[in-house]
Amino acid sequence: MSARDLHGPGAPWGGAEPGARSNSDFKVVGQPRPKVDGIAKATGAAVYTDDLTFPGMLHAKTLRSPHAHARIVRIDTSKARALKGVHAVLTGDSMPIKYGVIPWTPDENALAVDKVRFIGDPVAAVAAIDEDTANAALKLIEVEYELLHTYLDPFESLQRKEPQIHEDKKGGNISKSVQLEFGKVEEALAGAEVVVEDDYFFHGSTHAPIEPHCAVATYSADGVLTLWSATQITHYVHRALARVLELPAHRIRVIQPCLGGAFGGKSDPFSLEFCVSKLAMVTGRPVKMLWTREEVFYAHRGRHPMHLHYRSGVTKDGKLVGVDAKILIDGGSYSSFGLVTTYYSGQLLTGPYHFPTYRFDSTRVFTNKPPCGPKRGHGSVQPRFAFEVQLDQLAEKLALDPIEIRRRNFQGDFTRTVNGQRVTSNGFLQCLDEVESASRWKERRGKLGFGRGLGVAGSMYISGTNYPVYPNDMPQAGVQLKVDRSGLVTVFTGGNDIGQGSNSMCAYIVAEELGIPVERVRVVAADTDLCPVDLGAYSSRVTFMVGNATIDAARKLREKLVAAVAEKWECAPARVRLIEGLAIDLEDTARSMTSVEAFQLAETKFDTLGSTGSYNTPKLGGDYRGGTIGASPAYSFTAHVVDASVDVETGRITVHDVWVAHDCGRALNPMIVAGQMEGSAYMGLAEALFEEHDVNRFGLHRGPSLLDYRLPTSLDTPDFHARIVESIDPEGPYGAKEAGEGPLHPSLPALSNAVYDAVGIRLKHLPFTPAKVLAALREKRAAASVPQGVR
Amino acid sequence: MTPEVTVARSLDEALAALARDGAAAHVLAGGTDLMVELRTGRTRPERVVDVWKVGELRGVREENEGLRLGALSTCAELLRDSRVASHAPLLVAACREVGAEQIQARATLGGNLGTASPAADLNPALVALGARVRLRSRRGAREVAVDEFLCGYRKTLRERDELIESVLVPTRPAHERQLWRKVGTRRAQSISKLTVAVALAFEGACVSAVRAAAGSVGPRTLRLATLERELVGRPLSPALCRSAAAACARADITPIDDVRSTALYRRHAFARVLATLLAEPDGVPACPPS
Amino acid sequence: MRRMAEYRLEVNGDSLDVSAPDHWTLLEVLRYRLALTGSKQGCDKGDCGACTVLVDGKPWLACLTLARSVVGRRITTIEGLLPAHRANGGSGADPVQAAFDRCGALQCGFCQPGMILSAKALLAKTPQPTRDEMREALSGNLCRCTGYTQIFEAIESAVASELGLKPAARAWGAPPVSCAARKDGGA
Repeated sequence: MSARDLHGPGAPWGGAEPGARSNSDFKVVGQPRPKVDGIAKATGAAVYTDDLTFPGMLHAKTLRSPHAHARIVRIDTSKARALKGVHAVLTGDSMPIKYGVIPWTPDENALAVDKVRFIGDPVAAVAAIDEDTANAALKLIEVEYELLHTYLDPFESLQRKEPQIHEDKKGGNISKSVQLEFGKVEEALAGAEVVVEDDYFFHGSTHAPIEPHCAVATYSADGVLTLWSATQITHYVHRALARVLELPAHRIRVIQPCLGGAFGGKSDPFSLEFCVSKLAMVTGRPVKMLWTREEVFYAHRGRHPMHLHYRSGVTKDGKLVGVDAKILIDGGSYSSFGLVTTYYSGQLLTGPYHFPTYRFDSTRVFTNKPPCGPKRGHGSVQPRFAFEVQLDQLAEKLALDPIEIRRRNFQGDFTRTVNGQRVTSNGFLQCLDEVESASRWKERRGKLGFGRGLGVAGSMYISGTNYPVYPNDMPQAGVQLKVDRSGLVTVFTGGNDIGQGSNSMCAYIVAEELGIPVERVRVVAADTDLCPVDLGAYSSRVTFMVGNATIDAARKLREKLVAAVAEKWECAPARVRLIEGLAIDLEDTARSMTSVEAFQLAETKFDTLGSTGSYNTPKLGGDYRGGTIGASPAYSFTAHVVDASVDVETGRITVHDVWVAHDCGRALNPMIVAGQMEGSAYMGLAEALFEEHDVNRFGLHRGPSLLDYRLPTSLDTPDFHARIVESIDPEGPYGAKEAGEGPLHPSLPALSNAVYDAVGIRLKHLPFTPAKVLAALREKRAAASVPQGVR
Repeated sequence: MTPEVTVARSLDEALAALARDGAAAHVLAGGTDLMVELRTGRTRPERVVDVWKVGELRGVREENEGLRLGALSTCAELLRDSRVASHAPLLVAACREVGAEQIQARATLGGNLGTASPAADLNPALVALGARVRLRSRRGAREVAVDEFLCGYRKTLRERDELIESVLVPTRPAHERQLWRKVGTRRAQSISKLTVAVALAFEGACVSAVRAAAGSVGPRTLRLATLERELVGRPLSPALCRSAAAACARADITPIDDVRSTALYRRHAFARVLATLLAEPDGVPACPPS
Repeated sequence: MRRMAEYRLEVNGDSLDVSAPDHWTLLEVLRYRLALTGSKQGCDKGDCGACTVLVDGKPWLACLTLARSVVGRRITTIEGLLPAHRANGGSGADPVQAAFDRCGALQCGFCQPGMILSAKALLAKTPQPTRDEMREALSGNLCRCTGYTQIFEAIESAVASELGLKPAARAWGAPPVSCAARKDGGA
């Protein structure tokens, strides 16, 4: 049975009917409060993976390919092995079994077997007494390569079949191709009043968490492998290790220590996790590998570059009649999540607007570049950018206000999208209202003078997906509670807290349900020996799924507590309420006991106390191949207004203010929700203006450092104004939906639209570099046939 | 192989170490370049001579010929010094845009000169100010104009046993405007896409002398000879600002495409920025020390 | 062959003897010799600021600093703030640390030791900084999670509680908008 069958979105006591909307029914939820690990992080006490040290620990380093595409003819590691202080050297044949986070597309090796596919592909690994020795040993490894044709242009990968980047793959260099049509798009567009057709380009960008990837492994004398890793998918790493190392999974324990940021960049199994594990098994000593910043850029899995072609038509009053998309996705050298990316690039566009007809044709190809994967807003940020800019182009043709065209196309709540996805709560109109009034849109848009303007965009995103990456009918999320006689409740969850605050969320829910202070809840997370399985921190699934599982577990425990107290008081259980560290009798308020007494009473009555809870999604999705990919139990909605100016002398764009309104269902902690909204908007603007993950003509990364991959500093970041919209979803935990990825999407198109309002240039190719802005301004002047030199 | 580090505590110790180790040794000052090079393995010296604690290389002194700045003067120190602020506001403006607070605390004048990166922000300022660098070795001392000292891509006239001791910024003319502009990749922790530094002396309305330099638009810090020629002896009209900037952007700079920007952008933005800069009535304000 | 150097560092009020390879940075010595792992390594090139410590009260990049070059200087790491606060008769964490916790400034937390130390240095110099002064002072510390807003709010909160002022309004402080009121939309 799943949690969703057990409870509605209301508060645990009283406000349980589905329509309950009042935050005042809650004691813990809905209040801004610190995170459970906040003080540990603030004082430097929090332990991240690289903070771990074990006696006798060895340090490992990776030898990487200097070629973008080559066959490995020969590897000689004998000199490296002979170096004093070197304990082991691994090459591809040490771990020949392929893996991949999506079980249908296992095409990665921990270390290259036969071939390398991008500059930076891992080729060998060395464990030595220290990093200096390991680095020295890498230089002694001789590798002979036979160079192969290098694919850097995705259009070439589409056309050219030989040589194949993955030789065992059918269909040349195509990674995945999806064509789906819903309704008759051509007919619809033929009847449209206005059709806009245009090309857009979304560049590559990367996550750049400040913590580089790191992993430490120990292998005990009795054959238990323990891996500590900076991962956001403990469970999938566990499965991948078992597969590649050919160890039974019960002899493997994977632990995620405190994690220094991820954003999707730590949601694949990575080479270093296999290497330290194998090296620990070979040497019998603990082994650590910490990637350099440069290596993090090679490992990548960031935003896919996409070439997007859109054709959309509207009626004369601005209602969409059809949308037609053709998308070429540059996947880089491996599959990673690419199968899902390809679907997401089409499947996730069908809200918050009603599409009467829709078609997409998305193809992901392999190139010899660092592999792309899921970055915050996986697969849907790129099409969202293109479509929201096109929507402004349509509005302009109809002389409609850009907010108005979005309102007119609102799909409504409790509806079904054209591609068969079920939409429940939907607060998008409120989001539009909020950003419109807060930005003083009506007074200011188009009236700020040449050089400054406002732009709007909207979006939708999933709160988890009902597609688990490997097929199974078990719960997506599990939680276990354990009670101590001191009154402490420990939550065991497989959920990965990657800084988004999921451990805190679990603690808030348990405190709310059991009527105890948050300080009496401790959370043990992401340890495969101790915690029930959760699939991991991706697709914005954790609050929704782990939250529901936590409510499920807490309510089961609560029933026992209430029953024990009711028995003691000889009253009906309905009279017992757990609140503020007490159990009270609702009809005789003089009668109460502490929650500690209640726990002990329940332990006496029921034996050792504990409970489990779980969540699984209902059956969702369209009835066609791929119809479950992108199906989510609930969708979040966002609208942004961006206020930006353009310096026509240097081409530099400055963003002044961003108003972000986001429908997160219910804000379990508004301060954390706002932090996600601000951080998302920041990251979106960062990739629009500053960041570019690209390679040169040899396939070498153009700037693998935090100097040349330019995260905005505090001086580059505008003021964010977060407005939380609560639609109270019927299936979310207390009505909550996601907040960590959706609010990124509108940043980029809203900025492009603001630049159009400011200076009349339509930026359709990301990133918006000063060079592109100056070139577009030049073109515009030329088109206006103003004599040269006059501005 | 990891380098052997000598920590010098005096000028004598530093010079002795350099005389002994010669080509094998690299000088370490604030470490903002060399520590990175060591870490990435791009530079693999056998020896490193750390001069950070050499007191003789620090401090600012007023001399008859101008203001003498110790080679170990950090951006942070230059930003705080009222004499530098009134004498060389151009240099202060350049320091303010280097890195961020932590880098400003470590990046030194001597390091900028010694590394001789074309993107080093302080070097165009020094060239425009007509500064001279003093080099010292056990063989003695010599002075070279900064303009000549920076002789190529990451190349200088420093001999391997020499240490950059100090920089002299000559006494300023009575009526001078100092101009500075950096276009960077972001607002802090930024590598320049272009920098331009100009010192203009006036007699009446006419430009009587001009020195100008630019960074990140050629293989080394470039002197802007065309600009200087176009401006000198003429009143600084808006039309002259535009035409001289355009001529300069055509003739004086040789920008390339790199990860920070494109050649086309650099040339285009350079002309515009320079024209605007020349037309600014007040130049860099002699700002109070921060 | 590794050349070892032996020296004494003044860290968080203690004099500590160190024996480490002579080219080791302050960050390496702090993390791997003194087990003070609060100072983080994010880039190792002076680009991110996660390794920021205070040297004689000033923000200093431990990754670009040869450990031997700060012999005799007063080094403060993130671990030093709470004990110093307690030694001065305070309770709980250091007020700036507490404000970062209170205000949600800590998401992944990895940049925050450096960020908090930069904020401490700013407040020592400028007890009531403006937003612009904060932006300037923190511009060497990259944060990938927050968009900086809640960090600024944390510093403002720390100032307010230090001076007994009413804390400034939070950017997100308005009550959430309920969708119950609006039921008119829809295509």
